[in-house]
Amino acid sequence: MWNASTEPNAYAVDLVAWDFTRGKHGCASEFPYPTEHTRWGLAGTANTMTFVHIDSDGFNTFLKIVCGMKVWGVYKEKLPATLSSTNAFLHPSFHLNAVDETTRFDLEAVVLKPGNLL
Amino acid sequence: MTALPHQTSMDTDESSPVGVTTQRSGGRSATPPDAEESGSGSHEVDQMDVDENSYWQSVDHRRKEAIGKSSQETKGVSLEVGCESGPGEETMDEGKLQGDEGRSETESVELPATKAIGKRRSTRLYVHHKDNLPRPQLKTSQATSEQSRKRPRSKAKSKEEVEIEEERDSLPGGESADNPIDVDLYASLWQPVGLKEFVRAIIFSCQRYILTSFVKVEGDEITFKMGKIPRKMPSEKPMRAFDAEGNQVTFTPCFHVCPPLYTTLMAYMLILQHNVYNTRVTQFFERIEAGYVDGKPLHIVAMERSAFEIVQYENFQKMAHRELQDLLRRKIVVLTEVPHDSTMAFDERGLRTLSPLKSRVSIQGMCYAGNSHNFYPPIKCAFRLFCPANEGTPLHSNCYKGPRQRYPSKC
Repeated sequence: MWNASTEPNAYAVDLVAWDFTRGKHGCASEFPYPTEHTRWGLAGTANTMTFVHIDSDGFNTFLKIVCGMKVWGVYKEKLPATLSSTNAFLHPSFHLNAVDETTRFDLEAVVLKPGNLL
Repeated sequence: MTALPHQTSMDTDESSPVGVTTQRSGGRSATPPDAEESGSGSHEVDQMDVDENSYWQSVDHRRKEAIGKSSQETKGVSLEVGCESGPGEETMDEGKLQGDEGRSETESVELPATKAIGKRRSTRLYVHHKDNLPRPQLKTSQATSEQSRKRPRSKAKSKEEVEIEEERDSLPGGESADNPIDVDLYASLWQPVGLKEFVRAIIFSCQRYILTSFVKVEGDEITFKMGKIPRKMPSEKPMRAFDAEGNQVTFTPCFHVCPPLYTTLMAYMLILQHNVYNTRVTQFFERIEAGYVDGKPLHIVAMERSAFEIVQYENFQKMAHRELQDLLRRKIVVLTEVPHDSTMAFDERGLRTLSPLKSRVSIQGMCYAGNSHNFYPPIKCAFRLFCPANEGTPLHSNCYKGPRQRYPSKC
């Protein structure tokens, strides 16, 4: 989104990373922040759905609803475990295309509406 | 994840490496931009277990090597044209050329030295057609041409296949030595191709018999016919979920399953496809409801055990940086009462907040459930956007061509 905010704040480490990257070889200091790769708008019709996935490039995501509603569901490990484990996503019960009862993950969902920011 | 029925949704989906939460994370490491673009070259880069400095040094070295070779060239370069390329899209991989003349499905042409665009070593260049541009006369390599002409045909071609080949060869940059690719006639992958040119290229190709039933071309206008909207089937039971304030929302999702085809077999496939989606969504919400306490989600009745943390926008603004970062490490924060324009709707004004209406946008979707090799993804996916409801005027828009591997290998 051309008008997305790129104001520095307490949690936008992408802006910090960009600040450190600029001026290095292959990334001239006058390059603008790549807004088109990190901030975009989505328009979906009724019943539009995206199945379970790991979000873009492993980045975390923030999302603001402009109009309509959207159900946002997340996997949550039943037992506290660290994602630094190499087995975090290698367990046989971890599926992205199905949610069976053997999975070690719980699911939670929240309905997002205008005025919500996830 | 899901837009609710009778509700169209618009949102700004923005990714940033804002720490790592326990709910979701990614495993893909950042790839240098040059490696992203270089196709087969990126494979080399991926295998390099070196730090950033040595990576850029190797890039410099390769560039100097390529420049040096290019300046020594006196005649030209040899390009390989693979027959896997679909209409309007060819792949040129200069790195695979040498010693590859024996392949039965390649033709080799010589281009003047000024055409050495694809000279960078191991660079895979994806190109697109630009219609109605003059095609330069290029000399072919006689040896390889004769060799290819003597090549025995594996089977006799049908009349339809011959027509298809003739049409394909009539386009600039066909798949024969007599109609070679001129890289100057193509836009790069990163330059979006207008829907108009794209659809025309397809209609002129072998896909016309299918696409003309969906697409109407009148002069410069290209629209999707309204009578071919894919059918929707509702899920077997309604789903329910709760918003951040604890209000229950019940809805019955519908799934695009198949365009209205006419055979019993396709009707059978339609039911199978519906079951796949219905099962997935039902499983998804059953697992969600299994975690409810007294019929309510954790973020309402036991937020300390929930993955979500509901925070009012005003309180969020007052939080100290360290407190906020600690919270984001453990939870997915959902802000409420964020200032917004409550009059915003799914209309022209609303869409304009996301993107200029005349800009080219990418379109995604699975509104056609048949054999994916029958259609070009942007066309079938555009269907949903252009026909958001069973009534009204279809929108006009443009779309990117998708990645090459998603296209049919043969016409």
